[in-house]
Amino acid sequence: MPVGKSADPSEPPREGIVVDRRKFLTSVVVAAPTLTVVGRWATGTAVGQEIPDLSGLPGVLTGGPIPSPTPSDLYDLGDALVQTSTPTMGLLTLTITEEGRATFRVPRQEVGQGVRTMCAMFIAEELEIPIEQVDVTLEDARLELLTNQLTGGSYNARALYQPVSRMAATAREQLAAIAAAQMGVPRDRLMARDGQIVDPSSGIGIPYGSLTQAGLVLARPQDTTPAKPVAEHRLLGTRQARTDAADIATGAKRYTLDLAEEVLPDAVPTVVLHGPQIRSSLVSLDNESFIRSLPGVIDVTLTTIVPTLGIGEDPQYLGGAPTGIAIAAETFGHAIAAQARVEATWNAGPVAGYDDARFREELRSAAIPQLPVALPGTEVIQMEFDFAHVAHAPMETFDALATVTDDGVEVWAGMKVPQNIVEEIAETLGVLPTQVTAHCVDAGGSFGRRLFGEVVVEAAQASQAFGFPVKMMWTRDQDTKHDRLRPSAYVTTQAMHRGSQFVSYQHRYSGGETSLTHGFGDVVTAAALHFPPAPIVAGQIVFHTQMVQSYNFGPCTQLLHETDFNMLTGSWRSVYTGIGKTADEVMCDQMAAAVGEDPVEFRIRHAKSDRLREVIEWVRDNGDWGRTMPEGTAQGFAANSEHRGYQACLVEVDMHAPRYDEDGTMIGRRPRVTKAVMAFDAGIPFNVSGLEGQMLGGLADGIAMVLQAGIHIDDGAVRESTFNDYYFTRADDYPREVITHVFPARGDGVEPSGAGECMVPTTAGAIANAIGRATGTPVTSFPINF
Amino acid sequence: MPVSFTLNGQSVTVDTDDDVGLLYVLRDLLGVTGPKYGCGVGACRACTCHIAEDDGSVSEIQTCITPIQSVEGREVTTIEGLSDEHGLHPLQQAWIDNDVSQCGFCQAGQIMTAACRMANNGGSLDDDQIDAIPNVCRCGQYYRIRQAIKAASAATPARSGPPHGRPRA
Repeated sequence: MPVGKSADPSEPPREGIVVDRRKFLTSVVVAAPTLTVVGRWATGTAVGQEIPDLSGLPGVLTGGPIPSPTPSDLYDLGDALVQTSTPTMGLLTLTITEEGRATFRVPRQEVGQGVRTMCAMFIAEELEIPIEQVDVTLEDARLELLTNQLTGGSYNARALYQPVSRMAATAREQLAAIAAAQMGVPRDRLMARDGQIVDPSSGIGIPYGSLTQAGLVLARPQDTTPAKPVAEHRLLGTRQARTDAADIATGAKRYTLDLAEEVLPDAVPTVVLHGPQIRSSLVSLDNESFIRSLPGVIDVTLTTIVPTLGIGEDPQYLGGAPTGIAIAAETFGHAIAAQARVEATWNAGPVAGYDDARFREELRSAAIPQLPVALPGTEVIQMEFDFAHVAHAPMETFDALATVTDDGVEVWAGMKVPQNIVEEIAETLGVLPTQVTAHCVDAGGSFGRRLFGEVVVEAAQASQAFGFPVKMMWTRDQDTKHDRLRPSAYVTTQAMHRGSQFVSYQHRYSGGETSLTHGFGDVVTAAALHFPPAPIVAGQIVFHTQMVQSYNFGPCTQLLHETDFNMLTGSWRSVYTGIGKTADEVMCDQMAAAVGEDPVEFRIRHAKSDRLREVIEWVRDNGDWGRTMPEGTAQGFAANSEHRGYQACLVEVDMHAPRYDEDGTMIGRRPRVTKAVMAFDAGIPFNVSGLEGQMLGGLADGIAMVLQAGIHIDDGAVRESTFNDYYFTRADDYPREVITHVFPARGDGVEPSGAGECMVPTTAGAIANAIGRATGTPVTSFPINF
Repeated sequence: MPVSFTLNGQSVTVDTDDDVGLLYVLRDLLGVTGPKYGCGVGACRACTCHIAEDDGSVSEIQTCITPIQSVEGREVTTIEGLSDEHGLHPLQQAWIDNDVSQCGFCQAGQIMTAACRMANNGGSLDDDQIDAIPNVCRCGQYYRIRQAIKAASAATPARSGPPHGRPRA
């Protein structure tokens, strides 16, 4: 089914995208369910069109690139998150113990991104102690921290570097002052070294532990002792293995459910079953006595996912109708077996009747149209893209420990917005927020999933109903089918050029509404975001503060229109740019082709900044760009400038790589990324190993997003169930040859960048472009194997 | 029905239903939490452990789909039992040296799978054999996993006797 509409340009535009069929280059995407098109037309005028005079625009006369300012150039999402986290930084403390250890509770969630290790490096750097002497743990939910307890948006490095470093520097100065008094020498004769304050002239040193009594040395992030200049860093900017690397390798690291033994030994394994469709509510559990009679089953109750009031919310889903059946049993094995035998009647969910085609159609009809305008002597390039729903699928499924007693509620879980979860528990259980204690526990991945905490609320409900503590887990099937999916999207891009000069760039993003009702992680913004039209505004703010335009292509507009399908959705690593910038990078290759330029040189020529240009050049030179490739293989390139950092990626793909079964027998061929070269200018790199890990992980997500990870929806229900059908990147999908390069620090005047998300669109764009070059057909439908 | 087996060198007996998965017995009844639940259907392999075979070789098992009754009288090794009196298994050391992990949740399974395959392959794995490891790492650290296995392969001399990683009696 051709999806692009076509028309004679001499006729008035009909609707949506109007292109000239005669000059239309169409192509079919590899394994795509629909025909997708790359449109390009050359024309004089559209009928009735005023012709603006562009000759006064900068660059027009010289023929060079015309600037493309966008809001995120001035203020990006990370700026907002840094600002909102700042006011309550003064409520955090660093303590030096009598053993000479530095302890700090960071109000963030560790999900593998390495925030605990990074903070330990900040502290060790300023205190001049080995990182092994720093204990960074996760802060409990503290309502008074307000907007300083959100994990998301790739802003940890940006928000925490200066406050935590200054705090540690202040502690060092306090210790030095005490030592100076004890030794009777001026402070400036002393130095901090290896956990001691030392007088170099005498060689005498006093260990920190001897200088502090419990709580005496206690610094706060608003303290003004400056952090070291970047040039004096000895630890920051190096490779530091995760502080929990050994615990992970020996199986000793404790995730939420593992912790039960230690903190809640009587917790009973509990699973929770939700309806067959997205957001089905329960009519009746039809075989409760049978379920109760099954081996090992201890108790059964109903739970309710806290309803999220959105635009067009159906009243059926408000008011606390049960949405889950919780089964407690001797082991999770018993509970899972019993869950499989539940017979229940469920209401239809809000997207009953929807399948992928209907989502696609509705998103297309909701799309903000590209104006079919071509200026005199210009040509227009236009593309359109479809992106499937995707699931987060962290390795650790949704889980929590909970105990509800007369004394209050205590929960343990991976929580990126623990304050919100406290509030939801209080509301649902009818207790005061001050009666809820929520402990954050290192999580086995998140990718955005744990920005919501349905399972924690369900666990508290179940414990309250059962009268005993629970360790609750969603099975993988439930975790997939009731994930807060990244909504599917339809994107169009349009660029206009006169000769080799681009004079405008337009991006139109039509997506399902991404739920951002967590706000800034505090109860105030979260509550505000539950009232219309706040969700729409929130989406617009995040979109415009995220969507960078890395190149100068002339005046640029980027517009978002979201459709609320009344599903549960959420941010997925990179949120809007995972889709938007991937599309832009595919478009970029087509723009280069349209003007007959090499795609890398084209990017260099149009790069908005020298830093982006340098990153692109590094990858070009170290990735052997342009080398001769055998048929069926190709290189692809993409670059990006997100989160105040600069990223570039070159990949090579083999469209006919062998696929083997478990016995090593070849069973077919498939595309494989065979090599990747990535570079990242993070401004001030803190943990080079951590940054490289983020680049490597971003590549895995890029591979998944382009090649094979997509969620189907059939009649309002998620089709996929586990890693067998929601196929995420595995070892034989990942290149054997990978080069990562982290640029050295740019100096004190430069801000550190975010790191967690920015490689997703960069790698996805490069992979899509490589496939496009290998097949001669740009990738416009994601994933290609869907 | 009580089931007795050897777990990390120690005899254990559990009394539960015959068809309950070994993973759940390990985690919920015996407090051995290194093996993880990731899918429950043997797809992600975060629960992978070792079981000793009569011929001295070692097999990898997905404990989430291994009924407890099937390990009666057998020797089971989890990640907690992989290191021995000489210290960490070379793979564990390589995992630390290469800073392989991000979230870490899959890594016990990754290490156990690689350890088993190395043990049964003269102490090393080549690139094709590493490709064939089906364990899912959702953080996508496959490159570092590959580097770590190669480092451990280089560090582990080929053995003629019982392969390294075999559960101790």
